[in-house]
Amino acid sequence: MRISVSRVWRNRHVNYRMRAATCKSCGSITFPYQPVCSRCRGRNVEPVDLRGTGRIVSYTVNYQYREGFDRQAPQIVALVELDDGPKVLGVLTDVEPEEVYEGQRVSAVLRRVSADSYHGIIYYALKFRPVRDGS
Amino acid sequence: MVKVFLTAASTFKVGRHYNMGFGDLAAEVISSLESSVRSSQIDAVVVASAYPEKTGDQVMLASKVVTQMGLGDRVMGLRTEQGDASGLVALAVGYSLVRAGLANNVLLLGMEKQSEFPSRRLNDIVAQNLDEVYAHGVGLTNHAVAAILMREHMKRYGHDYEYYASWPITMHENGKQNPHAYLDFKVNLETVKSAQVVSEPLRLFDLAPRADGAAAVLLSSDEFAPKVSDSRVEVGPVCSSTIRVDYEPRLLSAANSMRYALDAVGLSMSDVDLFEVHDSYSVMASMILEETGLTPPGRGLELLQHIPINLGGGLKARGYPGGATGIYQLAEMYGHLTGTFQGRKVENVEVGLVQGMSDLGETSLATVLRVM
Repeated sequence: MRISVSRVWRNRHVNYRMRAATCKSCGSITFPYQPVCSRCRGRNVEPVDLRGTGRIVSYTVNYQYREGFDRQAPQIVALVELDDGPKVLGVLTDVEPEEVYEGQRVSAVLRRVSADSYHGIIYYALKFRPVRDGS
Repeated sequence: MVKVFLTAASTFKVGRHYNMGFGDLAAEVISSLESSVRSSQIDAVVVASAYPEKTGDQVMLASKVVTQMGLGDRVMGLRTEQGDASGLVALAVGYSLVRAGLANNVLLLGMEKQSEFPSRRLNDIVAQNLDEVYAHGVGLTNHAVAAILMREHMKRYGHDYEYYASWPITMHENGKQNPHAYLDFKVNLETVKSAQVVSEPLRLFDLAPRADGAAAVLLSSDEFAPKVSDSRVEVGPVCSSTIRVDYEPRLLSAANSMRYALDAVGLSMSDVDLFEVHDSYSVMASMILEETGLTPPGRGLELLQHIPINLGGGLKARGYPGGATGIYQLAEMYGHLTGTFQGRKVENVEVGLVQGMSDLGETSLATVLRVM
């Protein structure tokens, strides 16, 4: 079995809802969610689901994919500055490499990322899609 | 207080060793240290290896080395794993054992097998460096992260691609003279510029080639060192810094670890005769060198004109044997300090700074080796 069912289940909030940790003591926001604040080491953190919208700061078109991600090549990876604060690295979807530009608005969407074809387990997670007029 | 000396070193050519497993690699490098191993009583073996569970279905590497090599039933076997920083973490462990008086002689053995699978499988294994909950699962790769850092570095400092090409060109010149280098050939600007795109703007020559390798060094206390070797290469405290990647084109972990290591022995950057740095990517080499403060921000690679750096070819040309890398760096620096290095040399090397880190620089370690 290549994909752990319990791991998929355990991480569902991060990967389906973009769950981050907000520190009630120092205010810092950490994505993905973790039970402690890295900045002040306090345990007074609360889960917050980020809106998943932001803009592209930087991006790369990656041709050396990982095993299990063959169908997604070439993979466009972007550094996204979220409207909620943190910068995250994300995989872009529903866009061709030549259509991507810095400053582009993007929004997180749920996508099928990988699958364990033998056991029928599917790994869903968030990717980013450009926000287009009317979408 | 006990002092720690480096008393012997051995490296095996980095490459695609399809006919060798971990046991064969260990035998190769330890056998070539046989006289030193015989004249010392080894108390511990610290194996630095990052990915053996995935690349070789193996754990307990250190215990297996102890029994295979017949080192004795009192020898303690340990393994360090901090990704590609494992080598210098092994040094930190060995150094601590000797310094604390718990061991007189410690063998550090770096071993990695990375040629067994196609690159897409290896990329998957190395992606274990990324965070567990989000980044690994969504399919990110180390190369894509490094490409983003390179793009940010280019934007911040206004560099075009050619700026970074000076690194592989120089490293291949150095590697050509190193008998243990994996890529022992020269490259020119045209070759580098027109190489295959890995992850824009990263091209093939901007990343270090992962391959198989093994290297070993022996640490001895000041009391035992003269029994093993005539050379007097003292190891300074092994200093470390760990900082989460924030996609800014800087390497504060490298800056801190190098500064702490120099402070610990009362020296400064300008006292260093030779640098050995962890060039997992050309942009990483640039950022590490910028953190020395010996060059204006963003122009680290210009230091190649002024100071000897990675004379064995670095990760780029000597090759990138994963968690064993730090042990190669130590072994090569030992060669320079004792005048025994079989490759490009410079005169009068008395102070060497060795900096090693994880692939993307989340954690960096450094130490100063000195002829006393």
